[in-house]
Amino acid sequence: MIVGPPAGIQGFAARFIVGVALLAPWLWLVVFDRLLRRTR
Amino acid sequence: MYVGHAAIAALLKGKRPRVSIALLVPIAFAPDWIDAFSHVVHRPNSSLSHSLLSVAIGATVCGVLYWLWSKNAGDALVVWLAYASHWPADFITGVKPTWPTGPMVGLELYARPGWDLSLESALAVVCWLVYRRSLPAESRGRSIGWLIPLGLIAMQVVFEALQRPSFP
Repeated sequence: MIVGPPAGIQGFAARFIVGVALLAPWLWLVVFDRLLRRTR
Repeated sequence: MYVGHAAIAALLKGKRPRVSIALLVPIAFAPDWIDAFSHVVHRPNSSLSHSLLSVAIGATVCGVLYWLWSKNAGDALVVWLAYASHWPADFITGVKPTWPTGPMVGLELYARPGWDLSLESALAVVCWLVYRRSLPAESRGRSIGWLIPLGLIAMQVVFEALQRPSFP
């Protein structure tokens, strides 16, 4: 995945989307891994 | 590749449960983090983030650092694999640099969004099935576990739609 953001406000929006895109699968797996490895 | 990297990290977690998933996922995405940072500082350079050479160096640095910290060669190898897997995975879906001034190579599956979505979705399910075997017995059958591959597939659909507003 390479996303080259343009300049200006569009650039900020593009960087924000790239940041969310990188964080989302990370948080998703961390949360569910923690949840599923917790024994009741 | 997008969620395929996260799926590969989950597969490696399944094979080596002692290594933290919180570490494996960002390591698997490391070239994308470097690429994003290079854009933030206005010095984009795909050779620095995504070339075969840079991925080999980055994977080795991370693997050695993890080995120095953990003193466990098997765990360090898994960290190395998480990073190193980025290049072959991206080779399938895109066109990536080899080394500075070297050729750009890749199968560019991104040009066929439907195929890309199918491949990354299948990867998410297969890797999750491997990952699931590392869970405690009482958690393996919990239906909430299916949210892992389903969530990753949903992220991939959004990713494809953002890249190409005409998708599907």
